[in-house]
Amino acid sequence: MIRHTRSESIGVKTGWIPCHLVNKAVSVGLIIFNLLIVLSAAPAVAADIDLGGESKLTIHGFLSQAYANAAGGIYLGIPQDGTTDYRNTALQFRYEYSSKDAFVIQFSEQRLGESPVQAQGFLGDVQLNWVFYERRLFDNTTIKVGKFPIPLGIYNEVLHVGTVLPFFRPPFGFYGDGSYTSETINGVGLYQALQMGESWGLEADLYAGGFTFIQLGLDQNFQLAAFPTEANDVLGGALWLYTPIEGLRIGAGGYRSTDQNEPFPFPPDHKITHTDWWASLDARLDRFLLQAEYRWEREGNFWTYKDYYILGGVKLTKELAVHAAAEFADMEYPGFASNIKATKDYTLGARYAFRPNLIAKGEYHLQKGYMQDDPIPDYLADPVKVNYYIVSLAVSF
Amino acid sequence: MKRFWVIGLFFFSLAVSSAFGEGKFYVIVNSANPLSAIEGGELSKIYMKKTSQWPNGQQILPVDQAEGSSVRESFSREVHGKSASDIKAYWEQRIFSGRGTPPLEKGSDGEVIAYIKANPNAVGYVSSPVSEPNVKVLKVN
Repeated sequence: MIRHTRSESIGVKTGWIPCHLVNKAVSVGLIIFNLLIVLSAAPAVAADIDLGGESKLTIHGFLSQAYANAAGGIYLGIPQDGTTDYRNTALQFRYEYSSKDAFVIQFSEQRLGESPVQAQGFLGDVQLNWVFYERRLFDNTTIKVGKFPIPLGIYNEVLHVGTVLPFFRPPFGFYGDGSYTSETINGVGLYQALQMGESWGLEADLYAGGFTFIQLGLDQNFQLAAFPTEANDVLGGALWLYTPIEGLRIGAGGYRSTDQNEPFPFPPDHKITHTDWWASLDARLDRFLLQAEYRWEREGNFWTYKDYYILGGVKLTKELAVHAAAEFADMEYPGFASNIKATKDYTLGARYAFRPNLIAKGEYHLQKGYMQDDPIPDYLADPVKVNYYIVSLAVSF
Repeated sequence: MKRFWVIGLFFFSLAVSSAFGEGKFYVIVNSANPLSAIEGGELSKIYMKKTSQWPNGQQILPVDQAEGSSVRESFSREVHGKSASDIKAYWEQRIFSGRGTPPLEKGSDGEVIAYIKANPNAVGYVSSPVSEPNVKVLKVN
């Protein structure tokens, strides 16, 4: 969730779904969820099966440790003299206490070098990343309640899992990292998969609730500060169409929310409607990877943010793959005659898989724009050019 | 433009020349299972946990072979149409997005057979023909 807050005027709320309807939708969703639990409780006990004498508890984890170095300024917490304080890790416990019920909890730690988000303590140490209860209603229908990953684009649910990512992180302008993003939502989610004929498939997610994300901006003393902004009354969804071409899927989705506690010049109690749409193409063929995503966000009548990227890769051998990506983001602000070129990022990287769950990566980024995190960029000045590289090792089990 | 096509043809030829390991595997179930044959596509769905119940409504317990084994590679290639490492990557994505866990893994044919014997609703695969009590081979169509 990318939200850029260099602001000149305060917009008018123009949400496409009125707030009271969203509140009502969330309430109705929770009521339906409770009803489903009650209605299906008896069969759940009856259907509880022997899982073959195996443990019902599974434990998984991942670690992605990096060395990162930037030239031209601090970008994404990467300083010019380099840092090894750059890491994502998580430990997940999943307890499937019947064939239909699971309880999942995941703890995580993120280090972002010299990012102001980290400096101000918002990343913390080990944090509760997710906790949710999941109930399988039918063969391909599940409902979950708690704190769970938001299905947004190709990568939001696996934002930090180095073993599944082509680079250290997914394209930053699209997904964010540390600030302007939330991997999770507190609320309720419904998932449905459909098989359409022999070779077409559809996956649908609906979710409702709220989340908090960090914004960087100016406080009342005009000092750089991180603001925990609340996104309330979130209502969103995602659709993925699986095509007859094995490995090719097409997705789209979006959400709306009511945001509160934004940086200057918004007063603390100001509420603004946020809308967000995305579309994705994800082709994971035998030797080739091709991904393209587009995202459009609007904060009331205030700003509009557009980001798109294309990412390609080829497996040269079973172990070695090379990837390249180009990402572009534009912002429209009231008072600016033309779009602000928020970022242009060209990336080239190599990925070596010792095993599918032990991967070394190296990547080089040519970045130009206004998305460096310290100091806050001045959109009236020329864009800042920061080139950086990241060398990382990712492991999972 | 000519250079573009040359590069394109090069990568295309790399793609189509990928070698597929032609190994043998035998899909086995407990002899209490009424099935005698299964569609390859259905087997893939079972192992991807997109189908969770046998036609009689019982919960399916798929069991996989150890990572890196040649029989697992053959099974992945022929049943899923993907390499074992691609399937592993799929499960990494499912696990760490909180959407599920892969089938149970066993370290050898013997362990898979023992599991099938002990669990009437299990399905597995082994690298050589099986002639053991309480276990039968399913024909894969």
